[in-house]
Amino acid sequence: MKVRGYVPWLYLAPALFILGVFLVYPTVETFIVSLYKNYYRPDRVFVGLANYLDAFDDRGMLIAFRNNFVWLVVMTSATVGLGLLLAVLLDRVRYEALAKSVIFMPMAISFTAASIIWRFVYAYRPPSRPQIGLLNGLLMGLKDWANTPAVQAALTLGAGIFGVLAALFWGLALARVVAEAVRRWRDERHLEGLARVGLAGFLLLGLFYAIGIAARPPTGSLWEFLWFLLAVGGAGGLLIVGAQDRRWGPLFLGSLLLALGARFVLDQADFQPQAWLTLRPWVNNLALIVAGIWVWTGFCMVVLSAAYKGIPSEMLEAARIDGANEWQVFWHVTVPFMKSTLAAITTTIIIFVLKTFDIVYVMTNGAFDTEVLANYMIRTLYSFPPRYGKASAVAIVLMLLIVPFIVINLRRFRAQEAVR
Amino acid sequence: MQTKRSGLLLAVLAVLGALLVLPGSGTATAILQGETITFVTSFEGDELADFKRVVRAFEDQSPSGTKVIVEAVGRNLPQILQTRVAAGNPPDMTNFPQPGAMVEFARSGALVPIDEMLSRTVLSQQPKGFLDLGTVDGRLYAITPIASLKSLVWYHKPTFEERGYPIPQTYEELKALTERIAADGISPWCIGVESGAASGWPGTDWMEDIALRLYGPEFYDAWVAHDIPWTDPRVKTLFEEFLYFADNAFGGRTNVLATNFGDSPNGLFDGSCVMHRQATFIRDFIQRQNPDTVAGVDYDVFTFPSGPAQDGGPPPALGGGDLFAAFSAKPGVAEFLNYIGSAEAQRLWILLNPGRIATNTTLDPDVVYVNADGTPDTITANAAKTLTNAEVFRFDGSDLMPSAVGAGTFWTAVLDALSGKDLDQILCEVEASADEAYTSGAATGPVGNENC
Repeated sequence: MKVRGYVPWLYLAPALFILGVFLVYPTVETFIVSLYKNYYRPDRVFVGLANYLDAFDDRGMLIAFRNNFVWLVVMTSATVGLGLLLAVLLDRVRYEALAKSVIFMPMAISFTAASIIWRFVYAYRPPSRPQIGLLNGLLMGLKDWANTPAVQAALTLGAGIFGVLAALFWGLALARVVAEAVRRWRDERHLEGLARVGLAGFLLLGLFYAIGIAARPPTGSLWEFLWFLLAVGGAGGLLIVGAQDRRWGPLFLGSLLLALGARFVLDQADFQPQAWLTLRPWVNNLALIVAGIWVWTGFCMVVLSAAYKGIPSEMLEAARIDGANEWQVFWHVTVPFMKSTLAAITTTIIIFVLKTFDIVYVMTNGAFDTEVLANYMIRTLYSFPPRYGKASAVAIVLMLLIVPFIVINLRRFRAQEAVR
Repeated sequence: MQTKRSGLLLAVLAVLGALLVLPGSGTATAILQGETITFVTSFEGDELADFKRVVRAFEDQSPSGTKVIVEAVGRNLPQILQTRVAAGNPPDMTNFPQPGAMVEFARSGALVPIDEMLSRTVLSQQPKGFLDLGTVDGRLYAITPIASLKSLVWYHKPTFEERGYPIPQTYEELKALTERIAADGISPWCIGVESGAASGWPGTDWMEDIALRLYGPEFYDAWVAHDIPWTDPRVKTLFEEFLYFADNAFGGRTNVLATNFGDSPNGLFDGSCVMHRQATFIRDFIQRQNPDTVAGVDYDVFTFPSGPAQDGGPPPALGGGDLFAAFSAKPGVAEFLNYIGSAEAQRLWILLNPGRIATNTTLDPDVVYVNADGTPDTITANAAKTLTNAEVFRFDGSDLMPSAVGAGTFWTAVLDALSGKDLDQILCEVEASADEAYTSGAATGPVGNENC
């Protein structure tokens, strides 16, 4: 049957029409409104890009930008990372279906309901009153339990012993890394030797964290936050390498966790309930981000699990037969196979994170420096007198931030289609 | 067979289509009984339940059988109103907790003047201060049936009597009393500014009361109208005075920041503090959370005392209220406005909602304010008398300012000040946002200001 050239367009016409009316036209109109002041009132005046310049001048807007960036980095990496970890680990257990359903459940409730749940988790009452917030309640309960002398003594002893053991096993792992570096250097494989030395240095940073120098959450300055990130990175390195060691790995991890756990409980001895959502600048933002991670991890896990199950098992078996440990299998076989799915999921999460509104609106409405762009736009729009121009400018800025990720997604989709 | 099935399908579709197109039940009722008017309100929870009962009472006595559909939208009221007005689909009536918003809508022509709608009797029974509040450019657009007084200090009576603390008559005496109580080892004040998205508003009430007392109503009006900038040294003094009281509050500034405003008065009863400055509505919170306490015995109230600006005169009254305005001129709207402005409606409402003050001037405060057990509610009665007899009455300032400031940067300024941020920087930021948000006012903004 011969198909005339315009027939596909006929099929597309209704969808194109709806898109045009509900997507293209409002976007164009928003852009036009952002070029005026008071567009919808009789006293409108053309101001060009003044609204955009005003927006970047506004402290509230700059805080929103900063927060959006923190959300982007932290939530994307945590959600995708956790999702990947869960996808790989749950594949091997019998109760996989049950675990996946439970982890996916937060996606089934409305995001507003999730925000309200987490608002109650972080709720604060003055110290003399009973705590209704889950977090404060748990920590107060922990404190009451830890304050008995017997428990205190046991915990101090435990923290000491396991701390020493963890240090011992970590030291042994470090020694192996250094030995391997020396061996490779002797074998003229200088680059790999250098890499090993770099890794040893990274482990030293992890040591700082283990001793507790950077164990307190940072309170404000950018330097403190960078140091905190560095220490966390070092701790990550410590965990990765120490745990990888086939002989000492599990022992090291076990003692470390026990030591940290005992230390943590001991530290709660003088805990006072905290108003988590008022502690700025990092604690309250992280508290909100945790709510977001709780909602989205299930989604990432399910998608990545499907991709993981798509890896031909012969590949994995071949790698294991060749002597690779689990970690190497993960890095060199699993992840490369899942690259396209990982990229797709990451860009999808980035797009959702940048549009975050309901979590912030319900929990703090942007108070205490937790503002994000979407919420800032709504607040600017619905103020009296309404500031249409500025709100539209913020909306356009948000759109411009998200568009690159959509383009990346589209390009990859096109490439996939071209291969078929 | 095919035609029969498609015929049946067509019939089902036709019925569905007809159901969609037929007018909704509201209009049907209107044709049958009388008019229906829609009321969009910000009331929530118990307040909403009480208001609905007043509305039922109105419907019961309405001679034309007018029905009122109440749509509760909570704190989304500004969004809903703005969107519906812009869409050409406004509700018939609403209540504005902020006069600034009412003025905005009146100036843009969305509201209809109500001076013609109100009967001469009802109009004559409204207090002048509130009538002025509802007047924009010479026409009356709103009446305020229910109000609250904010310049009150709630105190723990047993402690005061035990230790012989005097009721302060001036602002200086209040500060001296604060010092004396602190020297006795007790926290003088309980203050809490946390309120979710609205955190910081109790601090603004404190500063408005202090402004009236230290510098007087002319300064207050100029400040609210942005004729003087936020960087004015007197505005800085207001912040400093508030921080003085926060430092003398239970738990210091950090606890003031973290405590919810509704929880803070409970400190009066567990020994944490002895005084709490808050509006009349807090009575309900206290009663619910401390049901064993008795007004007049366990706690009592004195008016926030006058300051140097009153020069020996009575204390000025800072108040708030809900302004009822109309978007349409339906006869049902006029009926409702006349009802809600009348003594009968307000007497019912304050019976249901303790702590609120009725504005109708024919009501005798000593008779109408009663507790749940029938005994006279002297606290609210005295508050009502203070409100009506005040020489100087001012509406809550942050409700008069544009919302970007009054419900935005002023609140965050309070939070920032309590967090220890530099006051000059805070004031510059508020001035910058005020410069942008105000469309009138003599102040020129932070540019060229030597403090910024």
